[in-house]
Amino acid sequence: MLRSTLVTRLADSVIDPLAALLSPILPRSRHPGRRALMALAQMPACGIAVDEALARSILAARWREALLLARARARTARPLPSIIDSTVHIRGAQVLEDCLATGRPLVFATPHYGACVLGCLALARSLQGRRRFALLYQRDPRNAGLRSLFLRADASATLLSGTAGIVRAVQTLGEGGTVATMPDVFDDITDTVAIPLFGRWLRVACGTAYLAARSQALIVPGFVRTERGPGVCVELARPIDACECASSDLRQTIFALTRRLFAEFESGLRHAPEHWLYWERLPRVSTPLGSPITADEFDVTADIAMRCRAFPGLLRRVPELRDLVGTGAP
Amino acid sequence: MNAAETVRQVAAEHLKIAAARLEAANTLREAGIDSLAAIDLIVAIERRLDISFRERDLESLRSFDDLAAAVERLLAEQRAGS
Repeated sequence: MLRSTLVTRLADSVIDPLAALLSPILPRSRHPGRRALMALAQMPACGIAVDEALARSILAARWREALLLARARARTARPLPSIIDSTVHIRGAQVLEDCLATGRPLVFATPHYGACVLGCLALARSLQGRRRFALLYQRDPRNAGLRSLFLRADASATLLSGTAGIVRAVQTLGEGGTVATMPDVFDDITDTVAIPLFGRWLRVACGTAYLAARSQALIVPGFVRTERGPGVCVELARPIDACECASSDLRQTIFALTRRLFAEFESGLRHAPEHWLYWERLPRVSTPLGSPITADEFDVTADIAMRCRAFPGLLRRVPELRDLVGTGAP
Repeated sequence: MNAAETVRQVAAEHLKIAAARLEAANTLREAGIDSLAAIDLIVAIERRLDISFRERDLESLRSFDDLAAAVERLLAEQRAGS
């Protein structure tokens, strides 16, 4: 037990110097930081400083996450509950206690960081005996072994996926439980809303907001970051109250909630960009917002002329438009 | 009332969709039911009939007939078990 702890600490202590040494020479295929930097360079309005330090810290973060996950998955002499309890700490635990005190259902929403499963294990353990805990996840070969991790961590949790998973999540929240979700999925999603993120339009899944809207839950944004030591910090942000965004139109409520949640995510990602796994995907799944047009700049006549050129049938149907757009119209 | 009628009735009540539109529609999409409204519908059916859909029941859910077939299957299992 002591040996495995020492090996992990020793490995952790060399991660940063090794990343500094190897970062400049590793090929892109083996360097997630370099690939993220390439993606960020395609999104200049993003506002994230693209430099060697970021590449290096992304590389170190991926290695540290891999080390911690390998330790959690390994069947060492040290039991997993003790590893989780000694490695993961919740910053902003009072936020969680305050939310629990309201008696409202909770949706814990976290972006895809490499160690977020460890954060969910810790959260499930901390809610043990107080709240039902369910994890809504995408069934994916990368998530194989999740059930076994929760069992070994002695963390009581229901693992949910697919349509049936969302139905059970509605039920769990309806009974005052907690559901953990990772809303930043961009592939294989059908029901989406477009929201601004890092100066770009992005379609995101609206399941998290739907669950919160339907159950009048509090959404607790959380960030599961690895630290030197090695350790994991689950940082909880101020909760988003689904009731504050409620409107008579469910779609509008979902948009407002999703917008607020991703604004919170953007703030967390700006603070520590090295932990997010999806920088590489962002340019592919989003488009620049463009500069907004102010009312002063908007030229109605020019806009109608442009539409007339785009749809010649308009002039046939409404001949008066010829006078409005002048001879410049088609 | 059979399962197909029950499914359409719950859809009419909970999703406020006109009966004529539901009658004419084969697929949920044709009735204007997107994936979120489908979840609402499934939850409402579960509550009404005291049943619990399994993952495989909902995997290839496209039409009212699919939904009615799943409901019938679950009710038959319930009867066999009681």
